[in-house]
Parts: sequence; structure tokens; C-alpha cells
Amino acid sequence: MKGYLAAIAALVEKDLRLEWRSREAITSMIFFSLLVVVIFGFAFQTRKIDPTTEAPGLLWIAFTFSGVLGLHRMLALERENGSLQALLLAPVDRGAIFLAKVTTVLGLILLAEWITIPIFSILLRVSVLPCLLPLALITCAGSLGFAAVGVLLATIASGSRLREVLLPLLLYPLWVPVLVGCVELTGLALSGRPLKEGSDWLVLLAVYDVIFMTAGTLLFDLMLEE
Amino acid sequence: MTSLHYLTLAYALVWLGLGIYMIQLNRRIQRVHGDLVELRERMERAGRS
Amino acid sequence: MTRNDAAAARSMRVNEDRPARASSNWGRALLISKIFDFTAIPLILAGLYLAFLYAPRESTMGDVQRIFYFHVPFALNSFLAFGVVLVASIGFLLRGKRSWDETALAAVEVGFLYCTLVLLTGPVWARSAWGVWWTWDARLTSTLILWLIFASYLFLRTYMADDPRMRRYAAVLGILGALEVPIVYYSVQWFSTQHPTTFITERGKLDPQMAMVLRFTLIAVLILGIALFWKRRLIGRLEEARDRLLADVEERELR
Repeated sequence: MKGYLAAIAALVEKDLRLEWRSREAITSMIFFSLLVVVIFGFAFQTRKIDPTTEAPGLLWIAFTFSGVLGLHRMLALERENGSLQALLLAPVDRGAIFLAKVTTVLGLILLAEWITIPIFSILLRVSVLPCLLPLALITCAGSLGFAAVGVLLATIASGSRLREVLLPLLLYPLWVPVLVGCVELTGLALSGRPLKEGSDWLVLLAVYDVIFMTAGTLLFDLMLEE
Repeated sequence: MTSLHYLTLAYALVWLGLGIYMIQLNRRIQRVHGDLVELRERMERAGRS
Repeated sequence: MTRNDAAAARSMRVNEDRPARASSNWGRALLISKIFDFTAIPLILAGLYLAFLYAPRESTMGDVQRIFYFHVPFALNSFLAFGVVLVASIGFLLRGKRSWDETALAAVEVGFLYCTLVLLTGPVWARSAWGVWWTWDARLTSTLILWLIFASYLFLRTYMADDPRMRRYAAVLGILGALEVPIVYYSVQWFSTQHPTTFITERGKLDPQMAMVLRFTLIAVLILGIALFWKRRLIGRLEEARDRLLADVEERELR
């Protein structure tokens, strides 16, 4: 067990250090989110965005798009270095590889999201300061599920020539039911209501995270049998 | 269009969908059958030569 | 016949009594297919009679409501299809035999077909009864999401057809999609109660005559689905046999 966690930590550290050297994934994710927010601003003719009904949806659209970008970058990097093949030859549990990738991607996604939130707040004039903690919780819960399913599907898509199209195509149908939950909860948070009102949705997110983290850890091994 | 018209439309769409699928299945059966016959002939020819 | 399938068949060479055993398997499978076909047809015809003539006319919506007797069974049976996909996909990943994969694919195709039929009949009904083509009600919305999941599976299989890893990847996707079904169910349920819309989803009492007809059509549509699934699966197994035969033939021809 200790060795398992140590392996995961080592892999995460290696990936994050690699990313830190070039910082290309995180910067492109943040810039992309910024551009999406700007586009929203113009698309909505810079009028006031309703924090309960419109802002949550827009925020999570931006998160979804930049999340997919992050997944692409992570896998492109791996493909360029051939590191997935190398990892598979090493005596590391495949489930650990999965968990390490999810952790890395989750870290990048959360960082991008938390930087997007203040930009969103300023440009679209939606107040977020009073609800930073609930927002942090929602982004963690939602993005964990996104990362788990995303890593699995990105690995599947990376084998195809159409990988850029295939990943969103496979991911969005599986993501939509959870997106709904994230949006509902964010709506509650931004309008100042306690998250307890959306406890059903929190349970849904938690269940989703558990199911797909477990499934991913088990399936990653079966998927990559050579 | 009356209610009955809409019912007929819905009903027709169902048959259309089922029909298209069953035609596709049939085409596939014909193709596999043709392939198998061709392969058996090739097998015999290869066996003989 | 793709090159990879023939190669895979070559590497899975089995013993020589395969031909004799195989033909009795085919015979049995074909017989079962015929039985399902011949059971399905009268059941569907009876269902049509019950739905369109026997069932009482609904007061508010009129005759268009009668499509409900097929609309609902198509929806429910597509959920069942996912169950089959789950078991078959897990079976394929654990056992590796291609027949499991062909089972999963057959179930996906029939499930996708049924979802399509729900999404075709629903809007027609909604337009007639409520004046709008689409309503984000629970059944239509969850069927839409399931349809998208089925479609993504078929898309993956089509666009990775030449890749030897395709079947395993498709199995993973099938499992993920099937695990998603309860999430979709609850998510859409809560969403539609928070954003109420025109209700196609009936809740509560149904006229006993209507309930009886619905129970009947549910079974009829189920048997039809099984008949289509069985036939599709049979085709898949025939294609598998063809690929194996192709591998054999190519080897003989090279000698």
C-alpha cells in the first residue's frame, strides 16, 4: 500500500515537474478560458449576467472547454515522449499510473479553474468573493469526476487519428449529467444560498467520482493489455 | 393536422426506423453469406492446387 | 474483412473439430432466431391492435396519445440494452473472446435504434399535445443522453475500425456508458423537477385498461428487441467465422 502511494506520488511529481519546465499546458488552458470568457462578454453584449441562471452555465462551459484542452495537452506530451510505453514496461501497477494521471490533470484543471474564476468575476461583473469556499468545493468535486473519465477517454482517443474530435465526442455525453449538477450547485453558491439546499447534487457528484475513479483504476489495466 | 394525423406520422416514423434497420441487417447477412461462399471456393481451389 | 481481424483470427487458432461443432452451433442459433422472429411478429401485431383500436381514447390529447404504448416500451427497453452492454463488455475484457464483443455491439445497435424511435415519436407527440416539438422532460432528456452515449460508442467503433485495440476500447466505453445510466436517471429527474416543463412523463394512476395494454406492448417490444439483437449478434458471429476462414484461406494460398 505504501509502495503504491509512493509510486503514484513519484509519477505525479515527475509529470508536474515536466509541466513546470515548459508550463505550456497550464498557460494554454488559462488563456483559453480567458478567451472563452471574453467571447461570452461580447456574445452577451456586455450586459449584466444573472448570477443564478446565466453565470454558472457560462462558467462551467469555460471549465469544460479548457478541461478538454488540458487532457489533450497531457496526452500529446506523453505521445511525443513515448512515455506511456516506457511506463507500461516498468513494474508499476497500472491502476497507480491511472491515479497519478488523474491527480496531475486534476491539479492543472483546478489551477486553471481557480484562476478563471476571478477573471470571470471581473469581466462579467459577477460577485464571487462571498462564495469562494463553496466554489472551491464544487470545482474539486466536479473536476475530479471530469478528470477520471477524461483520462480514460483521452487514452482511448489518443490511439486514433481523429483524437481531437473523438475525445470531446466521447466525453461530453458522459459529462453532461454531472455538468448539470455542477451548474445547479454553482447557481446556489453564487446567489448566496447554502450548499445544503443542493445536497442531492453533492451526493450525485460524490457518487459519480467514486464510481468512475474505481472503474478507471480497474479498467486502465484491462484496457492496456499488450 | 389533427391528433390522428400526428399519430399516423409517429407510427410511420417507427416503421421507417425499424424498416431501415432491418434492411441494413439483411444487406449484412447477404454480404457475409457471399463472403463465406467465396472463401469456401477459394479454400477448395487452394486445397487442390 | 479487415486485415487486423484476420490476423487476430490467425493467432487464435483452435483445434480441428471446430467445423463439426460449429455447424450444430449455427443450426441452433438460426433456429432460435427464427423462433424469436415468429414470436415477435404476432406479438407486435397484437400490440398494434390493442394500442390503436382497443385502448380507450384519451380525453385531453386525443388519438396521438396512443403512441405512448410504444414510446414508453422503447425507452424502457433501451435501458435494458445498456444492462446487456455492461455484462458483455465486462465479459469481453475478462475473457477476450470476440463473441462477447459482438454481443455488446448488437446490444448497442438495438439500444441505439430504440432510443432513436423514442426521440422520433416523442417530439411528434409533444407537438400534437402541447404545441412544442421538444420538451426537456425527464424521459425525453434522459433518452437523448443515452442516445448520445450509444452514438459515441458507434462512432468510436467506426473510426477505430482498423485498430486492433478497438474492441477493448469499445468495451471500456460500454462499461462507462452503462455505469452512467443511474447517474443520468437521477440527474435528469432532479433537473426536471427543478425546472418543470410540460410533462410527457406520466406519474401516478393510469386507467386499468391502458395499464393492461401498456404491459402487453412492453413485452411485445421486448421480444422484438431480443429478436433484432439475436439476429444482429448472429451476423456478428458469422463475420467472426468469416474472418477466421479468411485467415485460413490466406495461409493455404501462400503455401
